[in-house]
Amino acid sequence: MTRAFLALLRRDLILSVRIGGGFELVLIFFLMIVALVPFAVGPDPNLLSRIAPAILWIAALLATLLGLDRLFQADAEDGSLDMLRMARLPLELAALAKMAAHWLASGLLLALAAPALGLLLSLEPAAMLPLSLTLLVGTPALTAIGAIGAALTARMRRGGLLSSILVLPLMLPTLIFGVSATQAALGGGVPFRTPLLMLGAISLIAIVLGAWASAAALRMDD
Amino acid sequence: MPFLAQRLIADRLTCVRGERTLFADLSFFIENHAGLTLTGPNGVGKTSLLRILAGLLQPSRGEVRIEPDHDIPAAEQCCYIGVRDGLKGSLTPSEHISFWRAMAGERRSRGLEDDSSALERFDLSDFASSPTAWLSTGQRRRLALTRLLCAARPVWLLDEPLNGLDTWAAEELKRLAARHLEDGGIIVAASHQPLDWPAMTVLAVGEPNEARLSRREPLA
Repeated sequence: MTRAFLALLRRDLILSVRIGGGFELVLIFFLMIVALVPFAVGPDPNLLSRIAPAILWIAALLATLLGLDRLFQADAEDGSLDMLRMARLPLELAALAKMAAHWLASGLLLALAAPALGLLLSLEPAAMLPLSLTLLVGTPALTAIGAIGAALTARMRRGGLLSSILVLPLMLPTLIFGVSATQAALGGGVPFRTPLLMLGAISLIAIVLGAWASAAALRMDD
Repeated sequence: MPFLAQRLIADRLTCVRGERTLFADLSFFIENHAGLTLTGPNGVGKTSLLRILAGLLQPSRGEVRIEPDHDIPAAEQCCYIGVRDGLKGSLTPSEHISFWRAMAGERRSRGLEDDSSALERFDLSDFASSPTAWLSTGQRRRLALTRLLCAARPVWLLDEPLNGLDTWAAEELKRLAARHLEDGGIIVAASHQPLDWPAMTVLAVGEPNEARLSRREPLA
């Protein structure tokens, strides 16, 4: 069972780095949004530095959505979903493997790239590490919540937009705790640990619910 | 290496798609060493029946069982090769084979020593490490069929298995099917072309031949 899980994880990772996989697009998209902000709000370093954590989190959230619409849709279209549904690996674990592959090719990269992109927004050096840490802890929740929407719309032709509309409101708690943890690291009433632990809890719950709910959605008859 | 499954039982299956009843109270059972060819005009419910047998579609009524079940769900004893081939254009054939084998994680089918011999069987060795997107329709179809060899499952469910295959590949598939039946496997295939495979009984879906079948006579 571990072998099947790892094989599926590996296949999805290979697919995402090969032509048409689009993992580099996620990073470029992240960079684009972040680069647009100084043009839109003006080159005031104080203002930018204050809103930088929020911008980076929103950009990460949008970049995560980018690859999610194809998470299950590609498999539903070409028939590999049928095989996954008939495999000895439980569909919940198959969904978990696909979520893990998606996170490794998006959330993890975003967390690593965030400090560098923070420079564009004159993010305070003291906030760089905490920001990366919150993205590292929080992006699994984005992937997992997004997976539910992706599974529900897997068989729809233009499911991506609908899926985004379905899952964005559910991502709000993650966004709130992600940004507030970064703000807390810069000083303020609450210690950094409190919102970070909440963020971790949200991620853990989302991973379990996401695997279970997307498997249930994928089992619906076509 | 005999298979565990003894018989595949379809018990009073009814399939309703939209407002149309495709078939009602369809019952049959197939014992091992035997197969069933589903025939009938387009839209009569052949693919739906295969997907119900595969556990991918819930019948409106009735159930599918494999006896004795050995605590393995029916779907996990079937290998379904549908019209959609389940291939990824950017993966190579040998990557597909090793992925399928890892997903199956079961004992090997007879005559499959390693990944390359599975590709040799359908003459795909020359393309083992080129992207699947470069293969022709027939070659893609052959690659999809090698999945039968990657998971040693007793029940083969094939939707239009001869589509796109040339004469040689069709003969090769016939040989594989014959060996599978010899090993104690079961085959259900939907096909418009007549299948001259051994031990296959014809079931015309949607025609009133269920009366005979519902008496639960073995088909072969």
